[in-house]
Amino acid sequence: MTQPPDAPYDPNAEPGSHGRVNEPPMPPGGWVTLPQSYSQPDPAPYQGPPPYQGPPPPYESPPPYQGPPPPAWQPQPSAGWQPPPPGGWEQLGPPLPQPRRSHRAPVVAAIATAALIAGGTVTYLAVSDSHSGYGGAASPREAVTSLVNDLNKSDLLGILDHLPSGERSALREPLSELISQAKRLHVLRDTADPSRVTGVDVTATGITFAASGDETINDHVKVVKIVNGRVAINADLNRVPFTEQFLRAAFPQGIPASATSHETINLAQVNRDNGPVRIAAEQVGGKWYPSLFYTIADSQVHQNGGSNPGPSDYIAAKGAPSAVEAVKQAVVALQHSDYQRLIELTSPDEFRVLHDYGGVILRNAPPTSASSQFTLKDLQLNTRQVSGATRVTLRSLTFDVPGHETTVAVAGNCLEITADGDYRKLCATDIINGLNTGPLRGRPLTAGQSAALSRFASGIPRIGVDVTSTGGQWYLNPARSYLDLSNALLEPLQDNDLLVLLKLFSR
Amino acid sequence: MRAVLVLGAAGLLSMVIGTFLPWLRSGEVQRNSYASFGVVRRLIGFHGAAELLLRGWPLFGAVCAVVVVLAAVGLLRAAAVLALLVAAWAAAVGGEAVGREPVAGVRVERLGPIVTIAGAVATATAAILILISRLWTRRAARDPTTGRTV
Repeated sequence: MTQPPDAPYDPNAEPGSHGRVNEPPMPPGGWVTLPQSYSQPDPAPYQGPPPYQGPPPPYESPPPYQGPPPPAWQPQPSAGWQPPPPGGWEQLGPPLPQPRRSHRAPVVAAIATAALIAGGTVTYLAVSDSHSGYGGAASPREAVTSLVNDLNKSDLLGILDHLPSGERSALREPLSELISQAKRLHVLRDTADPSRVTGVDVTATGITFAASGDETINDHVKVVKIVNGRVAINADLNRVPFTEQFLRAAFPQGIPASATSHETINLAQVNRDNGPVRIAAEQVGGKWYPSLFYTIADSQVHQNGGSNPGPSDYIAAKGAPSAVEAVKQAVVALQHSDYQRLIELTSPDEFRVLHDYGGVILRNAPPTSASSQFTLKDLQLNTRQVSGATRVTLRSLTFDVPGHETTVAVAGNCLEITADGDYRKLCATDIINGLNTGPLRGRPLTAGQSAALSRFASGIPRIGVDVTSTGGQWYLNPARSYLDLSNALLEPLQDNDLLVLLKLFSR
Repeated sequence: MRAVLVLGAAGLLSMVIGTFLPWLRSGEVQRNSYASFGVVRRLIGFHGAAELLLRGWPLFGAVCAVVVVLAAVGLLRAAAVLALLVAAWAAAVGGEAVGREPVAGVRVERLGPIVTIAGAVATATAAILILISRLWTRRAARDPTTGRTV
């Protein structure tokens, strides 16, 4: 129980002058409990209950109220705020140092601003440069002019960058893979000065376009006609970075003199003899790109005296629901000489040109045979992922020619052939044994040659058709499949296998 | 400390300048790192670690500017850590480029990558020195009896 103090609190009083001197006076508002660390008291042994001290003393009323205690502090008389004396306040003590104005803030601000401006400028330049490649031209002529400029600088990257995206993607992966295979198999040197790796320099000067303007094929293809100029072509096989081993294997008698050629084509003369040089440009996303595939198609049509395709010649793309189904439908179409279905199944991204020239192709296609002697009874296919596409390869094929049924199945590196119930397994070793006992009886294959030939044969089942998906439909990619053909055959070869095979076939 | 800051600034500047020097030659045409990665991305594409490193490469200069701003406002430790990351990024990209073999008329020009790598080494050295000095300063400021910073 708290009792009020019986005397005013004197902070200067000696302890013990009152009954409660050891306790501080209660401040107005009551006691404030401060947090204290709790310590567990040491447990003491139990001593039993304390002895009975009798009843507690009776309650005594508190002493009468004596009035408020005199205040310890008396307010000082004041006349309010007085203005400073003339001359200001007197400075007491040592003189204070003059406050220095900080020069750091403006410097920091200047450095930060300069850094941000520089960083922004550098980023702007970097983003601009990263998109600085050929991004299409405003007109077909500008597109061709830009291509000629890169051709004159031998800028292979720039030349490839000029192609429309569909053609670029059809070429880039197989070509890149082919170069890697050539280096792995010691055909191309790893460290060569590749600035002229193709061995061909093409320099075009004085290019002049036809005054009659460009020829319109359809709403997205135009042909630029070149009527004047000179194209110098310098080809030199010696400048291609082939390895010494490859050159010895491919040219045992040394590189022939014909491996170097210098030719200049007068385009004005070509124009007089055969008409202007025609280069097709394709419009993609509102920009014009020189097109390799459209140029080839246009060249074929005009060399054969044909006419440009019209809107009615367009054959729309109609894919298949799966990669395997696309190839199966293509095989069936081929079996029935259904070229329209083949064109429909062709990728519109890679070979848009086939769809545009569809009618022209059908008019020039060989006539459909009235009765096919070949009947496909069953076709089983495998799929595997290759870079950017799905490759569909053969698992088994059953076909029927009048009176005979044959099944060919791929089993590892061997072929299982069943003809009219007669089973036979054909492996690379069988081919090698056949060669050694037949045409090569006098000089049988060495162990190295046999191994290389065996590995080469194991690449044959890897050959397939590359298929891609667009808009949920699957389409054939003929250009890509063709370019990947050599990659499929070269892939299983090791180290010097290709050089060994070259020597074998050139002996 | 001033010498270390100058070293770091020189390193950052070298890295940025290096990215604009020739990195790739195709025929007679030279391209800086940004143009090179742009055209190679369009023609071939990047995969895996290379894609990860080069996705934000055009922002390299901006990140270097952030390092300078952090250092200028006195956040030296944050600036040093970011500078270390930027230096590692630049060294990885430059090292990867220098190690590439020429392919089909296209070869790596060594000037750009080497200047960038040299800048990265200088930047990393400065950043490490700053971090070490900060650590020592912090230790020295500690009360040896209580272990608390005074």
